[in-house]
Amino acid sequence: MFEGIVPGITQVLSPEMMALVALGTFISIIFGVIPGLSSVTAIALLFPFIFGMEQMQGIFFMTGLLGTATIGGSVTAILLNIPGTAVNTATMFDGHPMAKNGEAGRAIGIAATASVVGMMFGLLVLILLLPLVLKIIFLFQPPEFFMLILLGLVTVAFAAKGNMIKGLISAGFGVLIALIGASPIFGVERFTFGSQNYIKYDSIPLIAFFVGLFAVREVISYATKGGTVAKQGERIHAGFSGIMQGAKDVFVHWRITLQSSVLGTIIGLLPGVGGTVANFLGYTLGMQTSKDPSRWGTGIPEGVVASESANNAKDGGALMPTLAFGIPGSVEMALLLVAFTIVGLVPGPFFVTERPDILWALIFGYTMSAVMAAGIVFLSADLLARVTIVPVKYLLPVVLVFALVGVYASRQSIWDVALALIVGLFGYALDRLGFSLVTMAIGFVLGFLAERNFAQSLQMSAGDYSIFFTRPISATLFVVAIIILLLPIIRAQMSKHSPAATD
Amino acid sequence: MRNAAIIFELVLLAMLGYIFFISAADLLPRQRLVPLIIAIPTAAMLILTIFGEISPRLMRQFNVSIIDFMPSIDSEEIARMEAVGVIDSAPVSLATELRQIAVVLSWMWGFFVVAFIFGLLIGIPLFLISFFLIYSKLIWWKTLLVTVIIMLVVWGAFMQILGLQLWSGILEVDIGFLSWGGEFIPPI
Repeated sequence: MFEGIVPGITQVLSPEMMALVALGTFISIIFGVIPGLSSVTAIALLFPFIFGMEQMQGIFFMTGLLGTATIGGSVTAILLNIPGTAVNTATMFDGHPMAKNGEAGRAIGIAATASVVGMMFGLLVLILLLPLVLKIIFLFQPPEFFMLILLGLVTVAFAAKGNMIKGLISAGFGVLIALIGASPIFGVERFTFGSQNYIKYDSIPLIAFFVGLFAVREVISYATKGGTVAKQGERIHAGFSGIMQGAKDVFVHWRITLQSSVLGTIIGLLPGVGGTVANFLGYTLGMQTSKDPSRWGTGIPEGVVASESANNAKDGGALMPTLAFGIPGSVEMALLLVAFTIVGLVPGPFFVTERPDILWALIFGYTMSAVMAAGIVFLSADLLARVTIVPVKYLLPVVLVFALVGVYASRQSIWDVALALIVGLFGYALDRLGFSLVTMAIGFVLGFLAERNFAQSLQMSAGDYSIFFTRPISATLFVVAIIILLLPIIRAQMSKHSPAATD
Repeated sequence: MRNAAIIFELVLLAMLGYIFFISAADLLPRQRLVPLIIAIPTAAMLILTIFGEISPRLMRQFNVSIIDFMPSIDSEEIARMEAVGVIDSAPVSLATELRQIAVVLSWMWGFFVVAFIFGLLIGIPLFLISFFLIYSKLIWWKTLLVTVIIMLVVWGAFMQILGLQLWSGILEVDIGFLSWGGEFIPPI
């Protein structure tokens, strides 16, 4: 695994790769600054460009896009009291009061530095734990992988906010949509209804699906809400003063930085829980362990340190299941796997051992991207905050044009454009009625993998289904999935017997 | 909203039934095994959800998240915070929302149809100009400026960097010195 370090460093320091990381970082920050848009939208829109790239170029560009939207989002949380992305919500609690107290620069300095430190901590944990995880991977055969995918989907449905049943339905639809098209396992076309377009290309096109789900849906969502992206009139200027003080604060409050980074990394490891919870939990834990919790929320540096280091540390944790097992726990990681596929990489259990150069490219790319993002935010916080004043009605056609031209560019099929529009409306309806898009996206990415592992398992056992329940790891994973499915009932029973209910 | 949810869930159920049950009948058992393993519980949960829309008490206990098992974290608070300030607008009624969806879908499909017939190089500026002038009510010179900038980005990023030949439309135009279009309609 460590043999990829030198090639990784050499690659990341080449001007071409640095430029790609910088470009991805800049685009991601802009998307992070605009409330409602995120790195997911940016990636969905930019997939066609990854198509045209070589492997390493695509990987470095993705690292720029993936890791930095939250740093951009912290700017609006601090200056406008509006989270650029959902994972910056707790940053507002102390970030904006600090800005109001004339310490906007300091708060931005804290947010940017804590983000870099948090992300580097998460990546460090990844480097330390991955060799241990790789030893376990060899115990995983197709039955274990099938059960792991099942457990992953159940966990994501459980972790996603809202109704768990609806989360599972979305996951089911995601898997089923992935099975439409030519099956390489059985050599037949399934559920295509004679569609030449999808037979020709084997399956529902990834890019049209993801652009529809995350960009076209966003356009519809924006249109129904209208207004401006951010409220005007409350903007506070950042300036340069205090930025260095803010950077120092992160190390002065090292206990909170460390505590939140550990927490964020653990949250990242849990499939589907995501940065919002990490951000919120980091803040809450910081407050609970503080000597004077009453000061939290009044504009203290510790609040920004706690929230921003937690939400960025989660990326390192989230990379673990994605790289080690090829199973993503979040939409961002699902998109990373899609990007891998686009540039000709096959993610899976032996990916890290076979391609350590990619692992290190990701680690160095992420690190460089975080440092660049911090630099951009330091230098242009005021300018970035202005982007949010753009009215939605001006933003809609621009996003739509780039989304649809991007879809066309991916396979030069005009029907893919129509498909993206249909998926966009479908995604809007699902989202509006409480069905999780996260589980659908992950189900879609894992659908084929699930079927392949299922078929291979049955080959191993000569058609005996008990193989899933007689092997220790597979059976354990199954039991854990069942326990998670039963949790709502357990919780209902617990609340019935709780003292409050008895009273 | 409840009726809309029930209708949508019934549509999902019908889609599921038709695509993954009825059309799967032609497949060999092993070819439809995994789709059925997924589709059957999905259909069962959809039916449960439909009943849950009618009787909300049934579904309430499934409104559970991992966050509920974490101390000091309130999932409703998280959801509330996630919604804070994302868009500065007041809540709208379902009828207004449906009207707004219809409007934006008309624009989207209008763009698609124009691009399909006349090609993307004509469809994009036509869509942008009409959208900015009619929907966004942007003044004409700003409309033209933004349209030109976007067209330059499309030309530079997609046509020059990616080397993409944009869809030129099914309408064939040949006026001597200038000819474009005439794309074959690809099979759906």
